[in-house]
Amino acid sequence: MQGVLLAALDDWFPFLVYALFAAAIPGSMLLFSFALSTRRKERAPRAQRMPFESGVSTGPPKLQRFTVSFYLTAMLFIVFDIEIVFLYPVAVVLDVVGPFALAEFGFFIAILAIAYVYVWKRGALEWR
Amino acid sequence: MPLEAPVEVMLAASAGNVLVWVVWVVAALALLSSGIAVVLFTNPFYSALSLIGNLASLAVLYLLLSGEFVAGAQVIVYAGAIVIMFVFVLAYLGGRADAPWAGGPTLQAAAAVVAAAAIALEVIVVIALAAGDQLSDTAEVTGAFGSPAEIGDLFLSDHLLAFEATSIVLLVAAVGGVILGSAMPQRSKAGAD
Amino acid sequence: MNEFTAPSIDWSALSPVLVSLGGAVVVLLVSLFLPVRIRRGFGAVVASVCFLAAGAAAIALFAADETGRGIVADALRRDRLAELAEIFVMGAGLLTVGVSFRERGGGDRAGEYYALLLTAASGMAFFVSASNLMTLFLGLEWFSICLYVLTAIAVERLSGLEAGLKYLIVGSFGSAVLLFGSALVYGATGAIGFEQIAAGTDDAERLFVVAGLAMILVGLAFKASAAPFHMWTPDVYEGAPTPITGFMSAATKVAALVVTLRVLVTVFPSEAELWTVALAVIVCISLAWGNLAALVQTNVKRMLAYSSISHAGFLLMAIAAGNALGGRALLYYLIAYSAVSVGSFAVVAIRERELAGPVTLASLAGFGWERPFLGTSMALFMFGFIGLPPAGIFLGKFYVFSAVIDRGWTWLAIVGVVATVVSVYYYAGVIRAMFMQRRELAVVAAGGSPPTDRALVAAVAVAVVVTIGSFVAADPLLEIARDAVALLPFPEG
Repeated sequence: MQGVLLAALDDWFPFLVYALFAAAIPGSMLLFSFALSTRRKERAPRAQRMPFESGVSTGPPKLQRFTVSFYLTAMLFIVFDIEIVFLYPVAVVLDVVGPFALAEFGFFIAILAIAYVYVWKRGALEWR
Repeated sequence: MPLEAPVEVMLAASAGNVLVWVVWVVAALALLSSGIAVVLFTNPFYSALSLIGNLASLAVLYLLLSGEFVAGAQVIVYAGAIVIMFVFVLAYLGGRADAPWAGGPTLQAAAAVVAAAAIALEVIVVIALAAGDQLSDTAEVTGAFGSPAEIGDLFLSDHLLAFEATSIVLLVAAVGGVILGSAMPQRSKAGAD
Repeated sequence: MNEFTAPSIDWSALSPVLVSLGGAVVVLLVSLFLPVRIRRGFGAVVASVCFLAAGAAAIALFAADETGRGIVADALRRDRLAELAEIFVMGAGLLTVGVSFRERGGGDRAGEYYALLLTAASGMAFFVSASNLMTLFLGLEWFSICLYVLTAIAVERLSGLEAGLKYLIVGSFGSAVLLFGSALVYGATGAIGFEQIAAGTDDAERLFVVAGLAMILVGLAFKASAAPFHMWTPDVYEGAPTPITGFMSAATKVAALVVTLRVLVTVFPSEAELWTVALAVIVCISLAWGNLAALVQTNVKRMLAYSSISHAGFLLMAIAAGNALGGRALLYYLIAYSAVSVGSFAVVAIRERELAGPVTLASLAGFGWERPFLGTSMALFMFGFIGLPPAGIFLGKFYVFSAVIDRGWTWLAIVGVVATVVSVYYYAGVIRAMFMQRRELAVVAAGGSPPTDRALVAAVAVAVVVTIGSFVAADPLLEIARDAVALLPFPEG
């Protein structure tokens, strides 16, 4: 058990380093932009923080609703995303199993393609 | 995977592997703090962002349990797609900050406390059992366990039909989503005309 | 990993599933490229052909298959129980195509409508032959998602959307409960195959097995719309397009009850004492709730929805008997019940189209005289629901009651008889509304009656033939039902 864990960690160690960097870069950007900023925002009067110091107030920000297209796209994305998750493990063993795996893979992709053709022809990918 | 794996992780630490221990502690702390953050933020967008952190740190714990494929799926599907869906829904609804606890102690709050207490009790029982060596069955984990190849093998043998049926269920889901989702703007357009 | 052996795929055994699924794909894709006005005709023709072909395939398999066998790594089980259920489902699908042909609403989505209908039937054919927990859950989701969408397919109607949403949420809850139960059973026994679970329950932690059994039963009861898990039924039946309501009340019930029978008898033989009692409780609640609520309904679709809840009670009573006689009674009952159910919703559908609005008891006034064939058929269906001859449900109820009496539960049979007596009131109310209202009250369709819908009348005629035929030809049908359940391991063998 212990050995397996350590082996897994060995495999994933580069990923860990990568993840640390990936977190550190945007984190440092945020941190330094606060730490090195010359303007003390909280002390500035409100007018100075506005894009234009004078002029007509734009009023409270309007509540902007997203169109339903975002929602539809996200939903379709989930469907195809899950298909990818299912394809990945089969793709890994394709060469071991051979033609049979390819045939089953093809069936899965064919069904996926039907969904894709349908979605496309129905215009669900067009922005409204 | 049974629940004693974190304990095993600790054992590994006592054996001198500090790195596993560090990763486990960091992931567990991130999991807890992001979970608390999801609940505490009043802005639903921040809650959704914390949820991504929550799901990602959970994926790290899955990795430590050698559930590589589950960890990957967790990141790709949950953190990648489902939370994006949450964010879009929030945006669709306007994403206004919601005032929590507005109604005082409601039935929902009471139910949440009861459920949390039940889970806490469960955790305590499991830890106690593990400490008393009651959960002594060691997991039979081979090197390939939980790896994508192992799962792909199962998809093509024992669960072939389930694998293919999943594609059909997803096809139906896509068709249904398009039917119900794309019909609505047409209707509102017709209403505006 | 090198010793990988591919499972053999028995294409002929999968044919009912594959034919209907293939038809669905053809309809879905081809109608995208067809002009809108011929989509409906194209979909209806392909769907009818596929339902006929899939039904014929199931009949051929039924005739050939005496021993039953697991196929594709034992994920599905081909036996006469599955094949008979597939025949019912395909038959209900075929009738539904006839009923749907002139259904308005749904805009240019006729292709999707028939494609989803075929896919739902295909999913049910998969579901009834499921032989492990994974295919069980996938089959359930497969046909359920089709039905959620079909319920809401006429998106112009808000009531349809509402019904679809309710069905989605409550149905998903039911599926989740079933999945949780499956996980508990798998955790306790370490197996997902039905027979392997049954073999492993003796060494397993009984608490988990029982909890899993209870949750699986609840999940299936949601689909069978048995009380107290019926709360979605009236709203969904009312909001869905009426042909789909007919399909759901017949085919979904067939699928859910056949699977309930299979799962309880093959997976949990060691807990038979427990689940028969649990079912008896569900039966009593369904009969009481369904019948009492149906008494006060004025909307005919809602009334039929409550009637379908009470019939779920009768059908589960057959399973609660826990013996081979009960299994036979269930399948025989389902033949007559499916026909009566599709037929009665077909009549409601045509009245709904005449009135361009919901059908209430008051708006049925004069219908029997205006359309004598449909009115008489509806009267026959109402007699059938009550359980009077010449409808097969008469004998179905008789066999159900004798099955529970055989088990020693005379009281349950008495409950059933009382429920039947109560139900006379509301079924007879429909007949009274159609034939015995004063002439002045008769509701005339706005803009005159629409032209005769031959497809729908043909579907009603077939339903009438099956309803009466199941009574006349009871003996051969009971033989078929006996063959279908012959392989199930009922306690007394």
